[in-house]
Amino acid sequence: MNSETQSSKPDLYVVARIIKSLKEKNKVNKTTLGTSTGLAYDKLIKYLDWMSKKGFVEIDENGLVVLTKDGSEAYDELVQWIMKHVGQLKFPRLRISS
Amino acid sequence: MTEEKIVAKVAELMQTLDEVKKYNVLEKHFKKFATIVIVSIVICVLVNILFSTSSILSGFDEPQKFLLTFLLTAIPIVGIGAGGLYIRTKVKAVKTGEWKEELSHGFPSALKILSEMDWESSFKAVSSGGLSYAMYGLVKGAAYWIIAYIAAGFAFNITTYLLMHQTRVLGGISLWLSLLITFLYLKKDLSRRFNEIRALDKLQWELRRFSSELRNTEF
Repeated sequence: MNSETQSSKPDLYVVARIIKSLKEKNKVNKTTLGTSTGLAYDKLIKYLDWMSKKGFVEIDENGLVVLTKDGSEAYDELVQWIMKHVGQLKFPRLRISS
Repeated sequence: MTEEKIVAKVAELMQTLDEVKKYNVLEKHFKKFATIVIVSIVICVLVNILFSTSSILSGFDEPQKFLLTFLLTAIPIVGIGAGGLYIRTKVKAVKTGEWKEELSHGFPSALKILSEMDWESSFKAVSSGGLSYAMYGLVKGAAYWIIAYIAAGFAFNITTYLLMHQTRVLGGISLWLSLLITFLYLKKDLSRRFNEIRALDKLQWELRRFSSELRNTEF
């Protein structure tokens, strides 16, 4: 997430990485989430802040990060959206002959 | 399942772009390849001129002269062989699959690869790859033609010498015959090259459509 764009345009793959990790682990603390997603702690905090504003995650009273239904649906929507475009790709068979 | 499909599709995309890298090797090393081939042809022509204008071969009888002239074809043959080998070595040295580690992390990594892809340079790579491939084929074809021309000239001369004790009676026929021989010899190669260049064009359009869809759609 670039500093100028962090409030409006986060990197989708980072969001996806966080959600995927939360889907697999359900409730998780920030340090573990940072490790499993490979994100620096301060970067993770910024993303979690953005995601909680969007309603994708919640942080409970114990400081554990929980994925919301909206977050899960957003992830599925993202997968479907990418699939719609990637699925149409047809690659010709290339085989160089020298 | 859908996530796996996306990862597989992105892997296919990256494999295709890896193949494109190989075509770009031709662009990078084309000058060297062309120089090797052209220099070998020039040497062959110069030695041939030297043979016919000087008295170097005066001590040999006609059949021996033919044989020595024919042996000159070995120079461009070696030139093409060396040029081809040089290109093949460079193509083999292309690093591929560097994305595999990243992609092994699943859907988010596939998304990362797509988001960080430099589409403009990919388009450029595909287009210049096709052009270099065509140029490479052209130089190779021209070199084969010259070799066939020298060989055909030799074959005609030795035939007319044996039958009529005369040489250079068939005029420019060896030029056209060698062109036909080259065409027949390279027919399969030419059609394969044509298909490859068409496939690169197709890929160019496919990638342009895909990148524009990705850029224009708001998630």
